[in-house]
Formats: sequence, structure tokens, C-alpha cells
Amino acid sequence: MASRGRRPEHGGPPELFYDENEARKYVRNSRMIDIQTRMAGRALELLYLPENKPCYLLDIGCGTGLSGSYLSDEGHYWVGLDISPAMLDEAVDREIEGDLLLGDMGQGIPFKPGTFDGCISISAVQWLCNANKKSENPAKRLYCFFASLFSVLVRGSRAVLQLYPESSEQLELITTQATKAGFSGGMVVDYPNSAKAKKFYLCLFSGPSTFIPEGLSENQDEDEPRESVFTNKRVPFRMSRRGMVRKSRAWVLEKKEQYRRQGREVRPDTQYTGRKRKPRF
Amino acid sequence: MRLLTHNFLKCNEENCTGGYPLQIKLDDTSSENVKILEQDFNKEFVKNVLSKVDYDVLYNTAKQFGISLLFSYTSQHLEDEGFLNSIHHALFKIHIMEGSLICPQCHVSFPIKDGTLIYIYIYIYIYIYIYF
Repeated sequence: MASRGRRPEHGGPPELFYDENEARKYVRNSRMIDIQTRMAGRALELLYLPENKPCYLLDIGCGTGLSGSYLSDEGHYWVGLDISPAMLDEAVDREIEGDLLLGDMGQGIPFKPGTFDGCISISAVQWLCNANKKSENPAKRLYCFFASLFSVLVRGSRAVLQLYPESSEQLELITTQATKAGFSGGMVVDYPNSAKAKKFYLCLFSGPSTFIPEGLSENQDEDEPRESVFTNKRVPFRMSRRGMVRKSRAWVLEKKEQYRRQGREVRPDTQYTGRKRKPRF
Repeated sequence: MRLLTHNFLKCNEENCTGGYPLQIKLDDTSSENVKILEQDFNKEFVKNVLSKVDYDVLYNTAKQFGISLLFSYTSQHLEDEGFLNSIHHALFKIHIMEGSLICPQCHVSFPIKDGTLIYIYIYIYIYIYIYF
């Protein structure tokens, strides 16, 4: 929830910003619900979980449980962590299906290693980048968060964190700490050209994917060949319309086919395509 | 706070090793400290999660709530609907509403209020509490 002018992180820590009034506004605002649900959907898509398999997920900065409700609707089981008691009270009122923890993500996630099949976070991680007490160091808190996140995730699973970075330096700070903690991955930017719709998703992989490919079977002829065949043969570029008479029906059909291949919108071919019109046309 | 989550929780205090499993202490002063809520039974998930949980811890914790599970199970039990249902009941339906979790090593206590576990260092909690 970053305002265009003053960012909420500059005003103080999140547990004070998300007090009871803010929490009430948050959970009743239909636009907020819509945006958060869409982002949760996109993050779940980027998580690339195996199909139709309910998983045990972690929701960082779950707040009022908007993203968590989406996870429950998709059939997953989740645990939410948030620092604001008011937001969690709203979540309890909404009777969501996940277990809630009131805690500071910058101080680690108190679970056994290899607990969660994945992690999502919607609009939460940017709060770690601002130090609210003199004793806090954002880089150290970020590292502590990422290191414990790496530990609690199952090997080969992903974490998708949607955030609102203030600047590219902040983004770099976050990604360096994530890399130090052992994650690999990168940033996915949705709608990079639109100032309003632009969304940043930090996709982190904790190790190589343990997805085992299908074994070979005896009916290999029925399957289409999955691999591309690379040869050194030179394929000369032939313009397919070269031999034809210009403006003939065959020429027109070939031109339309070329346009279709380019992805343009082309009228369907009918019996009238390329027919000779009356002279006065 | 379901027992499923409790099975995976561990104490993250500095210099605390072996802070697992956290002991559950129910709050006897409040009337409704444990709730049994319905949840749909998903056989696949129960089987998958059974391989991840620490079964001994689950057995002891369920005993504390008056549920007796099988002491150990074999792969045959994984197909038995009754066994899976009892596991589902223990893991998903029991909700601890009021109480606290105590680390066996450093004896720090984490309260559970209204089903939410308050895992935050005490000085931060007091600081938030003053503002509310």
C-alpha cells in the first residue's frame, strides 16, 4: 500500500502504521481487496507448484489474510506471519483458515528446516528496508530474514515476494542479501511500462528444482518428438510468393498466410477471396 | 494454532539449540482454551504431511489432548481411512485458542491469544501493547 507521494515506511514501523483504523479501512476497501487478491493469484502462479496438489505454504506479512484466503480457496494450507496485532485481529474476525503468528520477520522464522513447500509475500518485504530503531540495521535484518526463509523452505521450492521497492538501490540491497542467504532467482516485473500497474515480484529458488522428469516408455513413437534437432545444414530463404503472378488468387492466399504467421488479424479465406471483381470496382 | 503448525515450530532465540518440540501449556483460567473446528479431509495432503511431521512429537502432543493415535505406523496404515482420519483430526481440527508454548531449553514462553501465537520478543510486545 505505497502512496505515490510519501511512502508509509518513512512514517514509522509497520506495527504502528497498521493500527486499528488503518486495518479496518484496509479490510473494507474493495479496491484494496481486488488488487491484493490479483497479486496473490499472480504470486501463486509464479510459485509454479505441482498441479492439483495441496501444499503447506508460508505467507509473510499476511495482514488481514486477504492473500491467505486466496491460498485457501486454491486448496492449500498456510501459516501467516505479521507484525501488526490490529491486522491479525481483522484476520481472525474474517475467520480465515490459516494459522497466524504475530512476529517480526526480520528476526527469523521459527520453524524447523524443510517445513514449507513454498512462500509468498504480498507488499510486505519493503518494510524491512527502513530502520526504525538506531540499533536496527536493514541489511542485517534482511539477511536474517532470508537466511531463515532459506532454511524453512523445502529444498528446490520457491519463494515469491511481491514488493514495492523505493529505488533501485533498495532493490539491489534486497537481492544481494537474498543471494548471500543462498537463494538464486530474479525479479519478475509485470507491466514495466505502466507506472500504475507496474508490479515487482522477487522470485527466489532455494536450490535446484527436484522435479523428476517422466521416465522413458516403450510407446515412444506415439509421442511427438520433444527435442529440437539442430543441424548445420543451411536453409536458403525462399520467398514463397516469388514464382506466382502478382495479384492472382494464389498470390493473395499466400500473402494472407504470411500475415497470419506474423500474427496480424486477417479475414478468413472464403470462396470470394481473390476473385475477379467487375471492372467498375 | 493447529497441532500441525505446532509440530513444525521451533524456538529461534539466540544461543538456544534444541528448542524443539515446544511444550504446550493450556490456559486454565479461560473457558474455551481448545476448540474443535471442522475441516475438509484431504487424503493426499494428510499422507504427504505425515511423512514430514515428527510422528513421536505428534503422538505425545495428541496424548496431551486426550487423543490416542497409533504408536507407530507402517505403509499399510497409510491406506487405512480410519487411521488417516484420526491423524486428520489430531492435526487439523484441534485448535489451541488460549495458552502458551514453552521452549524446553531456554524456558521462554510464547503466549497464544485467540488462536494467534505471539512470537515476538517481549520488549517489542510491551512496546506495541502500550500503543494499543
